[in-house]
Amino acid sequence: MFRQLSKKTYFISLVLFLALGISSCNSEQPKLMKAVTQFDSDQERDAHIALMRYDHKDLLRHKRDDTMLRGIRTKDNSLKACISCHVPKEHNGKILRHTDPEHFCATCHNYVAAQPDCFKCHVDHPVDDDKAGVASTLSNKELDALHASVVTSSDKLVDNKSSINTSTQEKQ
Amino acid sequence: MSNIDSYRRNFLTGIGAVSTMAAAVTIAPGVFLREVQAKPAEKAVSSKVRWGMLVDVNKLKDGGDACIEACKKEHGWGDEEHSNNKQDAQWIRKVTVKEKLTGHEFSLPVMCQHCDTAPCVDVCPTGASMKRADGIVQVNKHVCIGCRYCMMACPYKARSFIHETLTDQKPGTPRGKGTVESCNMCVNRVDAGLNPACVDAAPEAMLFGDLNDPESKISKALKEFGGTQIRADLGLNTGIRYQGI
Repeated sequence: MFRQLSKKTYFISLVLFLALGISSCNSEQPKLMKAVTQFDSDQERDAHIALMRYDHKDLLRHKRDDTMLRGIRTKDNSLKACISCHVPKEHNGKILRHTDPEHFCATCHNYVAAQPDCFKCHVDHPVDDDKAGVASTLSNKELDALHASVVTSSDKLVDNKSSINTSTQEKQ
Repeated sequence: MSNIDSYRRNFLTGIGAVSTMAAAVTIAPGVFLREVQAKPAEKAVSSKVRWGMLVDVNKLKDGGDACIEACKKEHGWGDEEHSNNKQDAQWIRKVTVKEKLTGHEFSLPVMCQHCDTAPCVDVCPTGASMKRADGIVQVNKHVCIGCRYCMMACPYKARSFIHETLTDQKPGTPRGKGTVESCNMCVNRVDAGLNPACVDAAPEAMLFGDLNDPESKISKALKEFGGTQIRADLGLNTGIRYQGI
């Protein structure tokens, strides 16, 4: 009798324990931040989501090789384009980084505990192009004219020699 | 098919290929005339082009300081906080040379020389150190394991290793700890039809263009006045040529 009872209580407590355990698990998917620019139609958006949800890692790998090895730089091949659409320039007055849980990539990657390596080298938020590279103060025409003057006539060689002479004279 | 048959077939196919190529040359000679311009973004780079640079050292006003600054600004290197002098990134360096006999002294910018037969590409165990079809030598950081063999192999000391965690890199130049880096001839700018940053920083002394195109400014200048390779004795056929050294 005592043995039966203990078995029953053991069974009930096990069921209760499991039920509690399951209910404490959060089965909801993480909520992703809305993209900065939206597709024109819901169909396009849904197709993009369906494709990217499963294949983004393969696409990223394939396209990075296209860009690195073959120099193909379309918008489709650009991680910069992904970032500029999916990560806002600022979030609550601060730059959103991949270490923040709200970051588009971090939201899911934190949830599944998979670490993406992209942002060890690539910048994780959109950066204005004019700040990114060298903005020459000269126009293309002026640059072309200057480049054209690098070597245009044999006079230049004489110039060079005379400049060498003057510089050595100065040193003496 | 016997061995002899397959040999004959290969031989004949070879002859066929050669004759079609010859026909292409005679029928449409204009096809081979090239201009230096931006390639369409969806098109792969081709070995018809070989990018190169010509540096006239005598016309460099500052021995290349402006080039170095432009390179730093374009690629975002040079402000590594935790690296010491021996560890600092050096995509491009100012090298000062003095001839002992005459005392003549001059400076020149030295960066990756974009060799045709690059030693760094030879030694790389993973294929990360690579030469693009258009002659640009660069590091594919996706597969670089940071072993630094290429740094040892490079006779120009052009490569450096990133020793610290970086943030806020330039979008066109991803850089990260544990990988090797060097001048990539501003591959992002070249693909967009622009000159490398250093060339635009010293336009009076530097020229960028297609070495394979006999009509390009750089080829004409090289044909007329010549250009020196650094350590030409190594026979690496560098893409960077100098005048006045």
